[in-house]
Amino acid sequence: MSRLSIKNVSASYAHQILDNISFEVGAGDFVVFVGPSGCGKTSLLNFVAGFNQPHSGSITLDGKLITGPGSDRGVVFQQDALLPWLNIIENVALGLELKGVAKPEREARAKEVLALVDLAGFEHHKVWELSGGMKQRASLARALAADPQILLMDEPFGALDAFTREQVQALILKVWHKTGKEVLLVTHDIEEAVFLASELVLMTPRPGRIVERLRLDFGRRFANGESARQIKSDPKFIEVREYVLSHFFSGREVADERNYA
Amino acid sequence: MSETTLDSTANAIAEKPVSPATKEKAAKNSIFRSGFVISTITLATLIALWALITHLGFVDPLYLPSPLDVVRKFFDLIVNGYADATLWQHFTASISRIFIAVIVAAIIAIPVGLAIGINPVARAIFDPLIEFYRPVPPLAYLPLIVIWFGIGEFSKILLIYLAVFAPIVVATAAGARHVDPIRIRVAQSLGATRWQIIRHIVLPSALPDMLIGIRIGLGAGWSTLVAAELVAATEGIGFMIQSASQFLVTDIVIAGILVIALVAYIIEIGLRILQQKLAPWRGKVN
Repeated sequence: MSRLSIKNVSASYAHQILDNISFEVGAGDFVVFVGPSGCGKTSLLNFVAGFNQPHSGSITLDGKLITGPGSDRGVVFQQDALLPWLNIIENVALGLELKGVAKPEREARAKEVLALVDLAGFEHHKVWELSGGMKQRASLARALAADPQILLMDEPFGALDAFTREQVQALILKVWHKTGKEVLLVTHDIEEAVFLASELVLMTPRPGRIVERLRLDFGRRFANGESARQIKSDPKFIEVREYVLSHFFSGREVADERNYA
Repeated sequence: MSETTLDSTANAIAEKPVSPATKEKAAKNSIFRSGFVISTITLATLIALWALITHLGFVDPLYLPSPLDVVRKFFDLIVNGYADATLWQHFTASISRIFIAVIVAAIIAIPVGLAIGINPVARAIFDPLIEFYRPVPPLAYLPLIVIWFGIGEFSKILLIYLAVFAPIVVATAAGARHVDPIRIRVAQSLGATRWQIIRHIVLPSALPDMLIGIRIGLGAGWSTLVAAELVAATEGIGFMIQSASQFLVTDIVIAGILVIALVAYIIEIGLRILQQKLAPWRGKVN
């Protein structure tokens, strides 16, 4: 059963950004859009979030046409999207506050979600007292607390260092597995995309097009207890990663990059 | 990335959780303390120079009385007063004018500033009005205010109010206009209505700018005070200074100036503390 449905979406500003994108997100899917900058993946995510409107085509969630932003889609931004005048629990409870949920109730819910993202005990910390990884986890908690139908993430690891990145990736997989919510994530990091996705969508730029879709299970394997290192050194993982890489780089470009190392 | 060259900077700005906060605080304290020491030395030097010049008789005390004379006059003003009012009465007259003006200005200017910042129509209405009168010195429109509203207390407060109003509006509007669009999207994606966005995102985002506006406005208010008390005042520090200057009572002039400087400085520090309390994130996050 498909929940999110993207039909014939095109958009052009100065030049064409997205060319006739059609896509369905099935129940429980972790969809990752991967491609170089300019392939329109962030634009597509913004259309799904409702921040912008595509010039043609339609996007529906559970059959309902998306015309603007709404709390049925939880968004995790790239960075610094926590509000500094609120402490962590107030940030996480913001969505519920806006819906008029009473304070004890929304704080109880926020505490639950903070525990889910391993931030129990940080409820009353200030935003600037948290590290980058903790902030991203708090952002995830805020999106989850409003109980959205689907989670949208725009390069959520973009501002994190390699160590923190792996931790937050692991956490997102855990949350995905536990809540069963669909995730739509945009990234330009191919290894990350292969690791996380249950459905990997490769996009090419100018104009943004979907060139291939891959059904993967590495994320599911991780959620079921296999270690990240085990998965990432699995020949099958390496094969998929190299296959995806070869989509974006001709052999020569890859060789050139190696020469610089 | 050239890690070697950026190493020290990277270390300096590397994000670490909670623990180094105390260290930072200690560093800040020591800077503050050494700054305080330097400031004190500067002031002491200035006063010593002043004392030396007057002591050696370089300047006629009529034009520049010694620091000691000024201090003596200051206490005399507290006890005996000047022009039928004690220093305290002059002071309360002035400070209440300024406070009424600032409070009324803030109450009106903050909503107007927010409206200018978020609504193009409000901006089109108010912006030219404010930009038109803002650069005009209060002394230039003082006569008009007197013609329209007479020489009573209202005119004096109105003049200060006008000087305070513009900076608060301008700062608030700038703050409201430059809200990080990501923050607005955050609220939208959580289902916020337009009013909720204003209340939960725009207002707190603009709060640091509002406080800066009030600080600047207060400064403008003090500079207008003397002008406001030019007209038919019988009390007020500004009045006291002018009146004393006409009789060449220089020590009172200097004492009056020092009182204004001191009070303005204390209020400024109070506002900085308030800013730290109300918007502690300023400078820590964008």
